[in-house]
Amino acid sequence: MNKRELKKAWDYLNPDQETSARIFKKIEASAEEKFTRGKKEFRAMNKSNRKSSLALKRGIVAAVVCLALMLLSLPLYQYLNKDRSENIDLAESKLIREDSREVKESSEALKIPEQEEDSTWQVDPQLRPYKFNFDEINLGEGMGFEVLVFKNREEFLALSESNINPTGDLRPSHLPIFRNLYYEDHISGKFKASKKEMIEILKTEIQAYNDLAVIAYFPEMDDLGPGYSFDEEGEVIGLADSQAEVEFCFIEGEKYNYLMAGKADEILILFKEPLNLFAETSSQSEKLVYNPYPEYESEEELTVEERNKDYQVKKEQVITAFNYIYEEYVEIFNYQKPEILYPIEDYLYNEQKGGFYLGKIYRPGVQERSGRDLSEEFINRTFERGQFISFIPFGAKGYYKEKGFLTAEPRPYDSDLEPENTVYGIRKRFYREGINMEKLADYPLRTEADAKAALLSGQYRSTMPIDFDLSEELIVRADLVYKLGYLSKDYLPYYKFYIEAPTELQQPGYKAYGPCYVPAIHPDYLEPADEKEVPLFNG
Amino acid sequence: MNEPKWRKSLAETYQKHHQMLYRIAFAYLKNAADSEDVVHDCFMKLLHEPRAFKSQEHEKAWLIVVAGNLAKDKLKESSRKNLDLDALSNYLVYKSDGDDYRDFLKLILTLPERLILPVYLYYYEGYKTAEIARILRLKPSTLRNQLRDARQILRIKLEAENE
Repeated sequence: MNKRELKKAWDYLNPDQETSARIFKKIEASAEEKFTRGKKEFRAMNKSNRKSSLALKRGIVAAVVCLALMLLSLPLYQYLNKDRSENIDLAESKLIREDSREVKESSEALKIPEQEEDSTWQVDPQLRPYKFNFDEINLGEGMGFEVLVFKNREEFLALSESNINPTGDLRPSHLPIFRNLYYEDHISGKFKASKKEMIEILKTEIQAYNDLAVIAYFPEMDDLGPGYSFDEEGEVIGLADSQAEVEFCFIEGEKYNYLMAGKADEILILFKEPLNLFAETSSQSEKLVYNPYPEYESEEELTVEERNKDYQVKKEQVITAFNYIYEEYVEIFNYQKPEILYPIEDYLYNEQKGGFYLGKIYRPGVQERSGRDLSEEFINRTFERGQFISFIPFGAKGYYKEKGFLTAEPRPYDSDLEPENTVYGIRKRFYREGINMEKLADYPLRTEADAKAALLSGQYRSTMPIDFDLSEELIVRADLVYKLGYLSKDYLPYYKFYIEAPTELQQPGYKAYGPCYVPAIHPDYLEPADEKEVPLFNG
Repeated sequence: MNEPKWRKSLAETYQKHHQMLYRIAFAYLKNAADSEDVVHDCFMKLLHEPRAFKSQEHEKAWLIVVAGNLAKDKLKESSRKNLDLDALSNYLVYKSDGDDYRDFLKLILTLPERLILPVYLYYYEGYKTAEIARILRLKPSTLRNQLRDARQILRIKLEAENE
């Protein structure tokens, strides 16, 4: 009995072509029915909404009167409320503002150069158009899409810029296109840094932190100490990337240890002494209490209410926790103008006991906000970011659960998890010219209004798996972003428009929004590249 | 008329994963009709619960877990809990590409339910133990013990057959 025999045996279970086609047809029919029914239900819902519109019209008259009164009393209201924060969102904004104020003071001490006028930038007359193909936009893989779900449209609109997009409302006149040197092209599979490259990258990074490395090696079975170790195959336990494999570099520094796995766009900076954030007694709690894994009494799935309640509590905790450790380890970020953000990075959108559960994952981080002009600031804010990592230890070995970031992330009870909350280090994303990316050229950007017109004329790609009719009223917001990831051949700026998702993707009681990407490069500097044929399953 | 976008995505995802899902379902259920239902239900779940997958691997891992859970649920409902080796023999067609592993597969399928998915993911899909532990939400040590148990059971059964 060997591995090859075991593998061969399973092949007998493959469905034949006829079976495969039959199942696909059945799925296709069910999907068709689901999507058609979704549209019918939506129409029925609209009909019922129209009935209530009469009552609404009556209400409008009263609302107009109230609005007029409110406008008249606004100056008085602002005066009375200038020092009050009433809810967590306001408290969060306050934290950011306070942090920005501190940063401003320290920036003055550092004498950061003033930003140049973005309008002084001129297009290089030799600039050649970039060959662009819509099908090359990295939309991720498979059938998932970047959904944002809210109770209603107002909740989405009320979110601050920093909650959604780390580059905020920055609108530079130009941005570079970068070549991703670790692009995985699905053919060569090359995207990992070599050992030599990793050592060079780490050494360069460590020098930037004034913590000279003393050892650099590629361990196989060695124990790296608390929080991170290796399994029997030499795989690092504690790394978030499942594709990291064995290729990684470990460097022991004076104050921190450094770990890097093949991807060449992130390093782990590991504290010599992991930081325990959990304090149960009141005397210790003045330091910090942060418990990412609440001790539920039951292994049963939580109800929607239980989960949402939990999420509300933990968001506050994660902000407190982050601010505390950031102060302790501020030096490692080495940013000229750091900014702390609490962006919503992920959404849980699952059917649970009692209906659909919606969970927003807050994942705090720090980004570099300096830059000689808007363009450079945009690049720094996109590519230079750091987050704290906390692994969830299993017994003696440090095995991380999921991504292991310090997050406000509601989770179901898991009997294998100990409610630990030890932070082991910092995951720092970085991009270096010539090392992991290469600037091709600076390109002028089109305006948001121009991009919106392009969107409405169908020049976009969306990760949403459903066809939809696009109209202006469905568009909720626009962000200027780089589309990153190892599946991106080049990093291009895009306008990312969030639109109300088609009915088929909505769930009762919530509003789902999905993104549409429109290239942000000025159309004069984009020229079409050859389209690619995508193979389809035909049974 | 253009092909709807969902149909294209569905076809691509189906092409990539349906065989794997079928194998997983069959390993638990040991019959074709129920396995087809599980594959169908997996894709229905994917369509009904839109989510953002970080990567192809993320989506694959999600589908593996869903297929395993759906198959186990079906097994609870089903009265056909015991493996009918004769029926299985009729189902498995000899592949004229060398050695015959049908008897060996029957042995694998007699493994306890808890060991099926770990064995499949390790030996067929080529996942590493840490990855399987992550996907199945098991401690790595538990997973390694399960693989060891599976190897031991298979060895004993093979020896018994050869005697």
